Amino acid sequence: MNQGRAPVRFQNVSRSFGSVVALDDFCLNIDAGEFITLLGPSGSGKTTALNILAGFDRATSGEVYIGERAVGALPPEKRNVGMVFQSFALFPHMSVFENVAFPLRMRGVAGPQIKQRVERTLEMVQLAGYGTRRPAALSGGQRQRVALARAVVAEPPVLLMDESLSALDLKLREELQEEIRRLHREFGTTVVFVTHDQGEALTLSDRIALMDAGRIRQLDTPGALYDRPASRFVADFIGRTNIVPMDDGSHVSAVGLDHAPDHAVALSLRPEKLTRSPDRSDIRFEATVQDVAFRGATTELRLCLASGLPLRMSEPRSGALSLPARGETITVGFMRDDATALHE
Amino acid sequence: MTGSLTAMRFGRHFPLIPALALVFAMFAVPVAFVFVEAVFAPEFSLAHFDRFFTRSVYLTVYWNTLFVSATVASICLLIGYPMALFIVGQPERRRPLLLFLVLVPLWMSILVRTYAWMVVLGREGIVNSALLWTGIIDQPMTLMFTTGSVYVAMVQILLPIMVVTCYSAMTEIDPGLVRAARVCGAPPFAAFRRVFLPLSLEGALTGWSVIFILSMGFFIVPALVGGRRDVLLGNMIVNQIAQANWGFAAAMAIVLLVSTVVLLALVRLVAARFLYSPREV
Amino acid sequence: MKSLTRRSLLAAVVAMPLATAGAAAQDVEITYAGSGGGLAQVMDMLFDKPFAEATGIRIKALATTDRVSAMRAMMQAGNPIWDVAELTPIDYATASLEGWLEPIDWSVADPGNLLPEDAKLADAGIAATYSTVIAQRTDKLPEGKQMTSWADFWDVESFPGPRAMQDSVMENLEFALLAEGVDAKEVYSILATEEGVDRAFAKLDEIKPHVVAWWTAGAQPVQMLADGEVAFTTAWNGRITQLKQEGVPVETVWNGGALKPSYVGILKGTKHKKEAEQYIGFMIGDPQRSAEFAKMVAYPGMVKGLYDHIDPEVGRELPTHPDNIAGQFVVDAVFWAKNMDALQERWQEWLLD
Repeated sequence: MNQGRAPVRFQNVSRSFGSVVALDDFCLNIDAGEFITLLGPSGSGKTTALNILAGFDRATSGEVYIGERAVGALPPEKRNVGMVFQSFALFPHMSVFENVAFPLRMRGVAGPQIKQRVERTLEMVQLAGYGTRRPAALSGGQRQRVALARAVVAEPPVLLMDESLSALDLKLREELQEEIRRLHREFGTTVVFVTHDQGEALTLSDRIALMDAGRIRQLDTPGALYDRPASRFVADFIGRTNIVPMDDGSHVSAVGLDHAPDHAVALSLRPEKLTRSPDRSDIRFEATVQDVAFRGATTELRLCLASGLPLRMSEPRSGALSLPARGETITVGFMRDDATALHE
Repeated sequence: MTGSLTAMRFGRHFPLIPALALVFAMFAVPVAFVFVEAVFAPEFSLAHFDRFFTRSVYLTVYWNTLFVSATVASICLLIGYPMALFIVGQPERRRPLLLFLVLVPLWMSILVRTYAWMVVLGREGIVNSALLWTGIIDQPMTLMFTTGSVYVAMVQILLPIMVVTCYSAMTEIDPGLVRAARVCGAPPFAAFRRVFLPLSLEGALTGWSVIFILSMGFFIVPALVGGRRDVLLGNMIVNQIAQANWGFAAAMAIVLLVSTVVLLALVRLVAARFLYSPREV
Repeated sequence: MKSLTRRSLLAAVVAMPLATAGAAAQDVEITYAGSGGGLAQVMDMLFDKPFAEATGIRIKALATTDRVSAMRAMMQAGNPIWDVAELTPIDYATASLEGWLEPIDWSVADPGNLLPEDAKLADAGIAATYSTVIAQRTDKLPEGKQMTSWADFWDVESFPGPRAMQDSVMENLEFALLAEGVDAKEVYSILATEEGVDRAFAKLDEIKPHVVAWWTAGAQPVQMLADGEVAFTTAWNGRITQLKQEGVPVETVWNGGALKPSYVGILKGTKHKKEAEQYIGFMIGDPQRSAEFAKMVAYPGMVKGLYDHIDPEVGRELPTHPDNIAGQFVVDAVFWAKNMDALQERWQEWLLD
């Protein structure tokens, strides 16, 4: 099945709607078989990029390639991609079987083969035997599986997913995330996944393109994006973090540093990297406890630096140290390597 | 247990009671009166129905009414569906204006619109004057008081209903479905034919039915713009009422009502077999 | 002497019943079923208000249609909601044959005896008259010719041009026989026979291909004449007068016109018979008031002396004017009440054929 994979390339793609620039000289190379996520807040241009790739929208300038082929001028039906929509977009007047068979019929696949391939795909999404039902008779999760089956049945080299899990509740979402990963492993298709949910992006992706205002802010693996954000925007968007401005000397000394790292405008300190244990920190400073909250596996502390900057800290509930009282001044520290210098 | 369930069910339907009462008072009761009037003359008798079904003049008009109504509804469908499709295809902010333009004629009385056709189709009307002036014809054509003018006037009057019905059915369709079809490999026409069309047919059929029902009751338009053969059952009923022949008028009204209901039930039956309805699960 | 008599009688008509009624009638209201619209406004001004002022009897005028059906319902229920009703010939004939009308005591309604006998029926009075006549566009007539009869209307050689007629068996059968040269007095005796009806339909066959429109509403022939849709049509006389005033070159052919009275009758079982009779007398039995009415709606009554109060110019346009009335015939309401159903069916068949 691995023949069905192709690299995707956005080459200097711009798209503007009147004076609004939705995509600004967007460049992205996606490897064949890669699972890439376009992540960003609404209005960041991720959906525009996907629509241009799917053929629902035209770039104002630039070109899109699927494999070696420039597809910018091709209508959606000529691009040979599969797509899963946020609203599922199942054809309500067709049975599950007919929904899944639709891409095959459009490609002129012969009848007996259709039956075989549809049944195999339905089996793969654990919906064997559901072929005669109408979409309206299925649960939300089942519908999304049908949508998935329809998107992959023709084994397109590229699979597009537009906020595909947003309509589902948390538990179903996690279940389907696993399923998508499994399908990706089995099919090896190139996947372009669009979401505003950073947790989903971190779970699923090989690489994440974090977008803002029509541009990629950072393109990296989930781990690198989390551990080494290049900018305040990224650090803030991926996971939770404390941003300590480095252009103000009082904050620099308040977190126990002699001087700001070279060219850094700010420092990102993840809440879980802060610790009260002296042997797990090489930089230490004092802070006042403002609030203590239990979060199941962790305890969340709200602190205030001597410079007046608020900090969040997340502590595993190991029970080694007794909990501080509100108003108490405690010593907190971190490892120098765990702090990320942000240059913009 | 059962009692409380019944109470719940009653509670759920409670808000419907005023509407049902209104339908009963304004529709069921008058229809019952009409029915009684038709079969008691003054003793129980089917004489009125016998007269209707044995005299060729009434049967001719009856078939003509069915034929004209079905034809008008079909012409409205053929013109109105593409119009609605066009409006749905327009940017959202332009649609209200287009719909407004479609609906404007509904604000004018049927009488005024019908008389206006005389100005358009008459011997010295706009069409004939234009054709005479350009020299395409040298004698005015007979456009008015023909079966053609009846169709033109009825379609013009009823078309907005079809456009609006189709339009509302079309806006119910998730535009993502057509995109999904396209990305599944369907060219525009195939996406329309296999996805959009079947999903909008229910609405189109509703429009057809409404127009058919309304046409069955038309009498002003054929009387004003039709020729001597363009008589609908409605005209006959009006004639009979004018002569105070209540019983016969009532019998014709019953025939009209029953045939409309039976025909629509048949249409629904066929539709349920072949058409997708958003209500089914 | 004559004029003196008339004047004194007039005074008597106006004053006498009022004097007695004024004392008798406290807070009586008479419900009058008319056709509403502009006619009701004229009646309110000329009849209802002055009558109320003079007698204290108020008139409640209703705008009604299909009065026969309504009367049938009232009679079935045994409770007349109306006291006085305006009736078309067919309405009147039906109501009269069914016995829905009170006999009128003309000594109460017309104590001065100003109404001709023709206008005083046992159970109704003739309130107004109108006539279905030929209307011709004078600019579409052949040079130096004018239609003067139904024979001319039928003569498509001498008078070419599209025609319109009413979609109504009543009157058209009569017109067909007149076109054949039948004397107006004999029309109904001929129509009473099967062969007579056949003869009328056969004559109608001749004109059928030349009739482009069969009108159903009184406004239609006027519109068609004005638009040049037809050159000749049957029409109601009042409408033609209006059209003429608007400057359209049209002329009325009074000869052969079908004169149709509009009747007023009192419903059986009314509680205000006497007051209703007074109202009817007030309405139709006074030359001056009837003249005012005729000037405004062109449907004159029959009271003696009416034309003394009307400008001769206007009078010439009215159906009961002595110059016009001679060639016209009065539609036989009772004949039609009896034969309408069968003839209407045949008419419908004939039209569809």
